[in-house]
Amino acid sequence: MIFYDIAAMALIGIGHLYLFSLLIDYKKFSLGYVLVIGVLLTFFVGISITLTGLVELNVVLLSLFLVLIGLMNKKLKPLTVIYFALCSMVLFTVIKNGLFSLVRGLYIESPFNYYSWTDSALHFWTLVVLVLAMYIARKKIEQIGRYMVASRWYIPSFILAIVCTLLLLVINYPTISLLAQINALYSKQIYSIILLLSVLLMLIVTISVYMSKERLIEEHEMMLQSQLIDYVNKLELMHDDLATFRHDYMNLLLSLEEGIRTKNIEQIEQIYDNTIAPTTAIINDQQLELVKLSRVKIPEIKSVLSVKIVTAQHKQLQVSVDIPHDIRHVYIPTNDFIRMISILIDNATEEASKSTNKLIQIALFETDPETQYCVVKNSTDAEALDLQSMYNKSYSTKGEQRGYGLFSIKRLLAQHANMTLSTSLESQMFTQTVLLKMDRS
Amino acid sequence: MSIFILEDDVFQAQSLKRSIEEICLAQHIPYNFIEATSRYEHIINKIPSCTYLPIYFLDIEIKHEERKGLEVAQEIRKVDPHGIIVFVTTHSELASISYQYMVSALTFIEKDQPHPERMQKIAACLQHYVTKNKVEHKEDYFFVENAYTSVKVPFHTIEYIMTDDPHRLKLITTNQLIQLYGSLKELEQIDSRLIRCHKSYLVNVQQMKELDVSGQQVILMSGKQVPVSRRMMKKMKAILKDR
Repeated sequence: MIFYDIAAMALIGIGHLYLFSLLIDYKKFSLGYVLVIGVLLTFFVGISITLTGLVELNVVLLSLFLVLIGLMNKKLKPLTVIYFALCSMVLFTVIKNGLFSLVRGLYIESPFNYYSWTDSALHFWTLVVLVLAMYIARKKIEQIGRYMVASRWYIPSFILAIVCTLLLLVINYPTISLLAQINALYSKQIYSIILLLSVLLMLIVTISVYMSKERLIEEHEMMLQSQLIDYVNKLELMHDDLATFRHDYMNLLLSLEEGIRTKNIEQIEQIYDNTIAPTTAIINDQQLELVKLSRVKIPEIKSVLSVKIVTAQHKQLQVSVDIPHDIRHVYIPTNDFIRMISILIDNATEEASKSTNKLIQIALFETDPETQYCVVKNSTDAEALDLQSMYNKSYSTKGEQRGYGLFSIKRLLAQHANMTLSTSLESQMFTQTVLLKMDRS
Repeated sequence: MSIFILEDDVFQAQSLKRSIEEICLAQHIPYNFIEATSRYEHIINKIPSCTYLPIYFLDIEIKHEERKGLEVAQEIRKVDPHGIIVFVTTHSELASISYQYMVSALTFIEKDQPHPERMQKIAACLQHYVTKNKVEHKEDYFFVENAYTSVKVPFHTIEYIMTDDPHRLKLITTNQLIQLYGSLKELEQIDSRLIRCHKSYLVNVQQMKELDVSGQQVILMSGKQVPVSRRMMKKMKAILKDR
């Protein structure tokens, strides 16, 4: 019996911590780490409660502990950490208690014998099942964590979580007289209210996850569409320019012919200086960089690239594109490629527009049929960068709430073994080179 | 010193040849011959008879074939992996990063640049050529070549390699950060000058400056610090001493 109780206590601590670490998506915790800290947490809480006799410490210490651990992860905002701490605590406690009551009820109804240790054993096994279930559904839970923060139900669910925590404080046989009184008077009601509220909380979480998923997909589609429209517009514009040029060109030839016929070298010179020489500007025009995208045979990538290039050109950057051969496929999923190249070019654009030279170079090519390169270079005024820490979640030279770009590139790297990224800064050019090997598996 | 020019426009070829002659005369750079031609077969055939490392000035667009120069460069690379290739090109084709990767071209000279700047650029190429011919040392590269990646960096620039996400590594050189898939065990076997100083670090012997015994780390030339595990301390001391 004592074994079951101690193990159950440890499992409670582990469960809280595990749910929390899943929700905040903190990869640094290995499973073993969670186990050890969870056990420590339980005994710490247990000892402090027996020493002080204050049962309230249970909830308070637990939430404090979770928040502290969350804050160790500096990439998260404190408010988000508190939110997830409360959420995970309330949800875990309620689900655990609910499940336990259910199992116990069922057991008593069943023909099995009821011993004095049955409760402890049931408690323990419920917890085991719960923790295992969390482990199995860990991917889903992580996802939920990511969606929740962006969801518009964030604030209502936050309030709900706070209310639930306060109610938990009351229901937990408090020793402070005021709370104890309330507990004595309304404990039954409060219990059902908590159940109701947490069911509501869970409902909100699931609905909002579903909704934000829809929203994200919708946004993505809208973005693709608008990019395509941008591209088509730009192409039309270029076509008009070329048509005008052709028209002018015919006239030019006619007047030149006249000059040659009359052997009037002055007239020829004049025509050359005034009319022909300026056309080099048209031929070297930045807009023609877009034409080089015709070698990209993947429409989504082409449209994203065109938009990024046009945006950079709008910022008065000189963009050069180098795509020597047709690109018919990329060696990572198209979505991931788009994400990667968008981040690289966005960063390059931002940095280049602050630099004196205002240059961007984009290259996409294969050196052999198995190796693809994607190079994005930009001019910069920076002398040195801490290349190592650039890829942390919070690192950004651009101020708060940025830094996610390179971090998500790092995530892509972790997902694709055939992807290699090299980053360098040399003679005021910042270069990101992505190497993709053909996936033979 | 052997100089090749591939250019289908006779005037431009002569002009480039004259520029090179002028520069060589002014800077006292001796040369065996300057061969200006519009037929690349001439060049390929003549490479084996060169006593020195040659330098090639290639026009990218030959006889209206837009990327002929590149193909020629690839042909040249088959025979001569070390020669210096300089592309001569019109402005719009400039900044071809891909060329540098595909045939490791030295640089580009723009045809429509003002004369003085062009001369400067040609002079810089020739200077580079002279120094490269003087220091006849084989470039010492570190290669990682497998199904997942192809990495090539000059060995002496490597500082250290460390583990990152599961099965991912960070290779830190003096001016680059390379994030690749692989294991320390695998890279350790490629070059014995990489020492496993810690469970998750490989350090380049050449880059080590001193050992910080109390801090349990090794200090590199650049001042960066790499942790050393207690077990390895003795061995590291010995290695630093032997060096």
